[in-house]
Amino acid sequence: MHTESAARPAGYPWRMPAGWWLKNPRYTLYMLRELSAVFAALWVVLFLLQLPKLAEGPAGRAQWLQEVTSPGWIVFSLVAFVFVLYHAWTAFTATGTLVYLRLGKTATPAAAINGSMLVAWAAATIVIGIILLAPLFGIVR
Amino acid sequence: MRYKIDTIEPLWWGLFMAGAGVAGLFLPIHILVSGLMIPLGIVPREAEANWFATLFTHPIIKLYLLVLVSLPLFHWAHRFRYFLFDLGLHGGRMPIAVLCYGAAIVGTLWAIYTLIRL
Repeated sequence: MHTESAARPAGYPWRMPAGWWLKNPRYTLYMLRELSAVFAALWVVLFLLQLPKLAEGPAGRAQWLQEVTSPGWIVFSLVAFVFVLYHAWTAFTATGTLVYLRLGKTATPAAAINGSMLVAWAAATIVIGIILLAPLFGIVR
Repeated sequence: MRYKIDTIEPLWWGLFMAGAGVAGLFLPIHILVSGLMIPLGIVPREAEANWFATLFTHPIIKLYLLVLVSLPLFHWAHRFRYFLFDLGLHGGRMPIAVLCYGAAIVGTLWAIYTLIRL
C-alpha cells in the first residue's frame, strides 16, 4: 500500500551551491577538519619512507638525520601537527555526542565520555613520549 | 520495494573511526618528536637516531607502526571520499571509492613489506 512512499527517490538531486563552505566560518572549519586526514596520512607515509635508513648502520642513520633536518620536513611536520591537533581536539570533544553509553539505567553524560577521551589522549601522549624520548630521560643511552 | 542495503560501508566506516582514534591519540606526539623536536635539535639527535634504530626494528614495535601507518590511511580514504562529495564532486562515485580505499590497501601492503624488511 505504501510501496511508493517507501522507495528512495531515484537520483535524489542533492546539490549545495559551489563554495558553500566558504560562506560560514564554521563550515570552513568543518572542511579544514576534513582536510586534516590528508596531512595525517601524508605524514605517516613520509615517516615510513624515512624509516629503512635507520636500520642501515651509522651511515644510514646519518642520512636519516639529514632527511629529517631538512626545512621541508620540519615545515610540513609543523603544518601536519596543527591539523592533527585540531582533528584530535574536535574528535575527542565530540565523542560524547556520538557515543551513547549506558551504565546501569543512566546514560553516561557526554562530558564524562569526552573527559575520558581527553584523559586517554594525555595518557597515550605521555607513554609514547617517554618511550620515544627514552635517551633524554636516561632510560637508554 | 526494499532498500538496497550497503553491506561494505560499515567496514570502511569502522576502519575510518579506528583511524580517527589512532590519528588523534598517537599521531600528535609522533609528529612532535620525529617532525619537530629531533629535527630542531631540541633533543639530542644522534642519541635519538640510535634509539629509534633499536626501537623501530623490534617486532612488537613494528606491529604498532603498522597500525600507526595503516589506520590513518583508511581514515584518509573514507574522509577524503566524502570531502570530494562535499566539494560538489558527484560524478564517478565508484571510481573515487576504488581509488581511495585501493590506495589505503596498497599503502598497508607497502607498510607490511617495508616493516618486515626493516
